[in-house]
Amino acid sequence: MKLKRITALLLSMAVMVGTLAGCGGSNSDGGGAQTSQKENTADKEADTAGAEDTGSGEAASANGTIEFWNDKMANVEQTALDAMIGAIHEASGYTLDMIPYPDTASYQTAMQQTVRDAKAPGLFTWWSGPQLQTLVENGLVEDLTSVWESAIFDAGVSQGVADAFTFDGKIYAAPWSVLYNVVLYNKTVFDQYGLKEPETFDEFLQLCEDLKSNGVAPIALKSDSWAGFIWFQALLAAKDVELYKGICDGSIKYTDERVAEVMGIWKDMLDKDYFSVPMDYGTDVRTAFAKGEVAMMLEPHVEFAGMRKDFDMKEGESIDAFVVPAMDGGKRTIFFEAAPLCVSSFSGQKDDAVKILETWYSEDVQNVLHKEFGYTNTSKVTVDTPTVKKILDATADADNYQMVLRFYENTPDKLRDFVLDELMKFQLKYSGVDEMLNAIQAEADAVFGN
Amino acid sequence: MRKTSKKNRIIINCILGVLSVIWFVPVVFAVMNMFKGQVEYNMGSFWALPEGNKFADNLSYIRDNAKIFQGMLSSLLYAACGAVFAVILGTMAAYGIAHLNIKHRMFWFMVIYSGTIFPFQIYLIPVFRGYAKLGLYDTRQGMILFYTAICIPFVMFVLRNFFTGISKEICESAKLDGASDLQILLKMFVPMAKAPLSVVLLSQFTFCWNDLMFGLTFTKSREIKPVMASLSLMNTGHAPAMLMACLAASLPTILFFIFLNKNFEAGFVYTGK
Amino acid sequence: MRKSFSLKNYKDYLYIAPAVLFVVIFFVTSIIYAFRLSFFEWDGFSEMVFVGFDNYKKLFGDKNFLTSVMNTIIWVASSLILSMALPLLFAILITKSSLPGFFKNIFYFPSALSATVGGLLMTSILSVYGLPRIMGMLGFQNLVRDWLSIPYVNTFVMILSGVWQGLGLNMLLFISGLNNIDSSPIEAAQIEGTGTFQLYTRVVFPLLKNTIVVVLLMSLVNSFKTFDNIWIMTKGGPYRTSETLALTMYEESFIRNDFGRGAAVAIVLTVVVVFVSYFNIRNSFKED
Repeated sequence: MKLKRITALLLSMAVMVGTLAGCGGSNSDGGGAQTSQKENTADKEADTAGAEDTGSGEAASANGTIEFWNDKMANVEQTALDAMIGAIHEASGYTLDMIPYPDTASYQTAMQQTVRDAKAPGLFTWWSGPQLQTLVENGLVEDLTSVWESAIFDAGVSQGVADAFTFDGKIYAAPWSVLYNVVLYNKTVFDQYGLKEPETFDEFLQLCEDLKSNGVAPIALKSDSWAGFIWFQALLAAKDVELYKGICDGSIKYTDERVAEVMGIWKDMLDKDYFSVPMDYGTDVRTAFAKGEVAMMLEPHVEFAGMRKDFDMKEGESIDAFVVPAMDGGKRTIFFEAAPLCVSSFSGQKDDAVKILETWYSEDVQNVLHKEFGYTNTSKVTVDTPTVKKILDATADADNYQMVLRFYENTPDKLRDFVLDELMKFQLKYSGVDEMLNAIQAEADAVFGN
Repeated sequence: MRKTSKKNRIIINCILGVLSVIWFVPVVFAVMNMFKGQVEYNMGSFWALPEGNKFADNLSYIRDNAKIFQGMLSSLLYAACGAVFAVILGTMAAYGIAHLNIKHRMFWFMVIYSGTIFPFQIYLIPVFRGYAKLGLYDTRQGMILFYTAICIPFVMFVLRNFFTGISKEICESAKLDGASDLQILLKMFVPMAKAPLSVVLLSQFTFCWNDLMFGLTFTKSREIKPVMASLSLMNTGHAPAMLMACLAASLPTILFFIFLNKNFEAGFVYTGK
Repeated sequence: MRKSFSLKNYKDYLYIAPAVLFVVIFFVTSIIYAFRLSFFEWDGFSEMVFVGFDNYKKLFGDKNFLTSVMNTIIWVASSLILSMALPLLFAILITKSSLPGFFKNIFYFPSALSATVGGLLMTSILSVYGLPRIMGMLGFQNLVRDWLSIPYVNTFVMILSGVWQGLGLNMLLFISGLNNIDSSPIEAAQIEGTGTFQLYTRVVFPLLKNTIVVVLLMSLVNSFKTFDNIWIMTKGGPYRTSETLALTMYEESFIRNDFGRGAAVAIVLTVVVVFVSYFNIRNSFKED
């Protein structure tokens, strides 16, 4: 009998919750987000009532709302999202309806199943390289070359970024973020031991030696599965950027003796304990870095914003950055990664989504993105600290620096995944130079069809 | 149950006492770290005591910034309905397979049971396609239906095992007294099965409540998304707020456990073969 | 009493019909879809290309797949011990203690937390600044590292940390089983002077058989499908050394966009689990 009562209680609870949830939705937000929510509910109710599929997407955009699906905004503060939505609304008149996915499987499934439908999101983030190519080859994303010509190039986004999104001469995405990989260092530690940013590669090695003799682990070894390529690409490019490019496109073999030489340098650094014990980035590397137990980490420059927020590290005071010097003293290489922002070709919101991008790169919007996320996508963005300014200047200083797309998006993905595993194995000292390079070359032969 | 000697009982109490300390340590630290600020947590030791009290700050953070409580209402609806419906349908099926006149019992059992065998990730694409076609994508009904479906096999499995333990003679004699199959199920089997019913209700409620993958995939609007989706979107850099949100989101399953607690001991007189 | 095609008989099927319909509509169709997919090459967006048995053939030559099979076996074997023996032991101790209600609550508590919560707590505790740091203070300097990033060792670390959260439900099932067994055979055996160990193996466990079958089969199936714990803690790394089959399936499908291959892994896993559970279930039907 009691069980019946429990069941009855649960059911009535459920009904109550249903009603509550219905009301709860509308009194939570203020401003733009609220309208978007309401429309969403209306939209959804129309669907469940069995209304026609067509039109609901267009109806939404007619009211000035554009869905923006993304996998990049998990772990972002709501206040930051609201600021971004506000800025974009002011610049374009459109309201963004953010649909964030923190999990790849959900995001992939949702995109796959809706991308050919009128209900596909107007805007969505994706991964550059082979994944973007797949969408392009299937005619699922809009050619945005005209937006680049009218707005994006003028805002000061470099040609290199456009190249990363270009297939057959057309640019199929706008940059959601452009990140530059630099060596972040704990300035407090450097100051304490009187150390300076290295001017040459030998100075860099000496720096590691000095840190080690002071009991500080010089470089963080990030054990995240995909992260094996970070120092691989940095050291290859420090030797010779053409060597790196040749490796990526298959024109130079992994077993080339110059590659082996660079790997030997890396091996030497590993053996001399210039790298820390392997650590997970999210839980340990940042903490160790902030505490000064590890002095350097090679990370995207947006980590300045992250380290400031989570660890109270101030640029120029307790944290700073440099680019790994070239071994021959020539140009230094800055690796960049660019996350594409796409417009889906089948979406009912397609035309509005293209329009919103026209103002997306205005100074007002990009300044908000810089303030909230630390992004510096355009050269006109107002940068508040000299440290970030220094890096931005470096990216524009073609005499001393060169910009290169990072390994992850720059080599065929079938080979890439294999290489990442082998590199991690090598880094964790479970395989040697020759063993690793031979294994990779065997796989590369199959992929590049030698 | 048989008696335990006093000495043995003291030893057992000690062992369990030590183990329960170990068991509870992580929870204590979760609670302790809830009072810390973001930078304090990140820079300090996980094991250190909080310096000040940031409880209120963290609370308003999870309320305003992470929208945890809104998701909790949705989750309550899905988990309660999903678990209750599954328990009803699963009990019926278990009763049918265990005691009614059905051919190829084992075949039907395997069909229903198969729902737990397949790796869950394969459901994502086909169910999404079906939902998109039927207009169930991003609706409360869709979520409830799915959770009902995914809970049925476990309920059926546990209860069939329990029901087969009840002797056939009891049913036969009840039938001779003129009871229908449905009456036997409701008046005899269900009251006897209080303990296993409570266990499956609790475990399936907890499963639905804690599910992330399906909740994330079959919904998109904020007012439909369950609480775990909101949790997974939180900034992991702000661990104290994250821990607080996690604990807050775990409260309903814990309360439900306490609420059902005494049912687990409930005896049933008719067992034994 | 037993007629095959009466109206009465037709009514009996109505009891199982809703459950069967739900499962067939949601899950049997899904596995058929996956089965079909496993003969194709598909990246999720382009045209599907029929490749016959290629996906399967490639799998068995892939060392990552073999590692994954090995890890799955380790998980299954350990779960037999950890999710059967431990909860049973806890249940027995708890029913014999002075505070059964209290202890039961404490040990169940972590099971009420979600995998996300448990994973977060466990990664904090297992990270360099958690337990390893404390080990360091106790003088074990070489233990001060991220245990989850040591290839092959991390699988065992994860299995052990999984006990914390995974014990509760099975323990609850055993406790309710223990409280409900008929006490007369036990008393009879005690009067005969049977030793404690024999009392359990000969009298109590056979009486618990129904509960044991449920727990065994559920743990077995769940351990074959282990995913959440690993995905939160190591994502299968470093260099794919801690993957299990469910993880390999996810990795191939959703991370590497090779849905055909992922489906092939899913089918292999399904066949194994069906095979294992069939023999377990058949026994429980034999007695009818």
